[in-house]
Amino acid sequence: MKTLSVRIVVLSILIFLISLVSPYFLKKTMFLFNMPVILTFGIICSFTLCFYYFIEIFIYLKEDI
Amino acid sequence: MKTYLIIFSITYLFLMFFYAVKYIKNKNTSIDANEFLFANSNIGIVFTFLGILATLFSTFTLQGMPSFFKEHGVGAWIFLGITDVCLAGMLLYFGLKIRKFTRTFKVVPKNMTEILKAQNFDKFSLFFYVLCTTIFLIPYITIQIKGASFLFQQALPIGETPLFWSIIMVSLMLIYSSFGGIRAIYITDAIQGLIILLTTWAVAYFVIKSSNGIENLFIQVSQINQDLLSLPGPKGVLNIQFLLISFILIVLMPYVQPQLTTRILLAKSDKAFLKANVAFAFFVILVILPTVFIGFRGVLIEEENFLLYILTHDTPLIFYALFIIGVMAAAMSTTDSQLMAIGTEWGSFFSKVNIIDNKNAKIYVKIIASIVAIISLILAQSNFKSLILFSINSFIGTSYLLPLVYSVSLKNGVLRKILLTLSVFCVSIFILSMMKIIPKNIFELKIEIILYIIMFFGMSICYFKSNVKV
Repeated sequence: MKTLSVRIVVLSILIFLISLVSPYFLKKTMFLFNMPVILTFGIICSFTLCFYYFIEIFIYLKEDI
Repeated sequence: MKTYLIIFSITYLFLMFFYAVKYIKNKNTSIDANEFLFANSNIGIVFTFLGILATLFSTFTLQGMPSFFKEHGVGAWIFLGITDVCLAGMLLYFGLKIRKFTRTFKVVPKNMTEILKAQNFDKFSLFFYVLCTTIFLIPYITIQIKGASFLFQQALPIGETPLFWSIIMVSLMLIYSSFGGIRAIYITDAIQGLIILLTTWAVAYFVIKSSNGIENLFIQVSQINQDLLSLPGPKGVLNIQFLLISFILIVLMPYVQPQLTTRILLAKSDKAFLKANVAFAFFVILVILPTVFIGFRGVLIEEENFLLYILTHDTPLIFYALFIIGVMAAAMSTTDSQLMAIGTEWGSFFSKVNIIDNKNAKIYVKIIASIVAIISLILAQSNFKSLILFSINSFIGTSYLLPLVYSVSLKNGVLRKILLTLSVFCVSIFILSMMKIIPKNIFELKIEIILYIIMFFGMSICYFKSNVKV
């Protein structure tokens, strides 16, 4: 459980930092999936993190409880 | 619209009181303090996640976030959309630790003050913790009352100010909380969570339709102001420092906000808590996403009160009424959970024994919740413009309690004192900077960032000096 929690915290911070610097690499005039690319990228980051939590918890509950 | 609003209001009130009364009737014996304040720590997955969702999402999300997207552009997604999902991760990490930690006690403590008491902290530490949470949560309660009563006043004006609706809202909240305790709050939280989800998506759907599709909406926005499509936004607010501060203060909320700590401890099992956490992370995105479209639609509308314009021109009136009920429900559920949490923390502070063994606990909690509600009601009549920026200061203040909360895991008395001093120092400097006695920026760094650096540095030293860790 300890490594699971630490992995989740580290990945959360990493995703936040990636999204924080992303506007400096992505052009504001660019659109992706009908939305400004910075916003689309941010939404993808949020969903990625959610799915990661889901997979981690799913595996943990299957193995340990 | 007024007819819809009255019908929905009555239905919502009926549901609230029906469940509160039904619950009391089902209990043949009188409700003891453990059931009233902590629901016997037997809250399942659905109520745990809807409870956390409802206590976090409030007028801040429904009214504040569309305005924030309108004013500051896409960076607002990083501010809340990403940070709130990270909050779910931190909630998971802290939740499992604190649940494991509290299981080591003979009588499992259910709130932070009880944990501090069980760990033999001195009276000053307890007082400092409870006082700070109260002082910093009052502004947040204030914006809930102000936001919801303002919308009601616009729809059904009574008098010249929203005072009447503020009083109605606070009175209803205090009445049903007094009847059913925390379980009644959980039930209204669940109703509120579903109303929020339904109404925000309904409004977003009509907004997208009025703008001829998502792409058209953003193309029109880019023609008005391209800075809205990037960071730091047209006004330069969403810079890296601001986003870092907001990230830290939001992910620290499970540690320092008493209503969240209590919700973590009330989940019936670790398994239920873990599942609720994952559900919470997904729902966070589902609730914030529609506010993007509502906010950007606001850019295209020249009206100052764009939300009212959208609700009266873009959406059918039934959704205008539902949105107002949604905001009221959001404000009430956030406020009642915070009032209950503050009341319980003070109740624990005044009780010599554990609060669940104190016969007068329920009365303590009700009196304190009423006093705090009245103070917030008075403050809600004052003028302030940005709901978001006002409430951020409230969160920053509580985040500086982290060293004190962390010291719970240490047994070394000297280190505990150092960490307490660190919390007192950070809170004092922050308050002085808010009062403009100390400058808000030092060498181009915001004072909040400097205080976070000092706080984490001090905590790291204490961590390495201590041998006992939770």
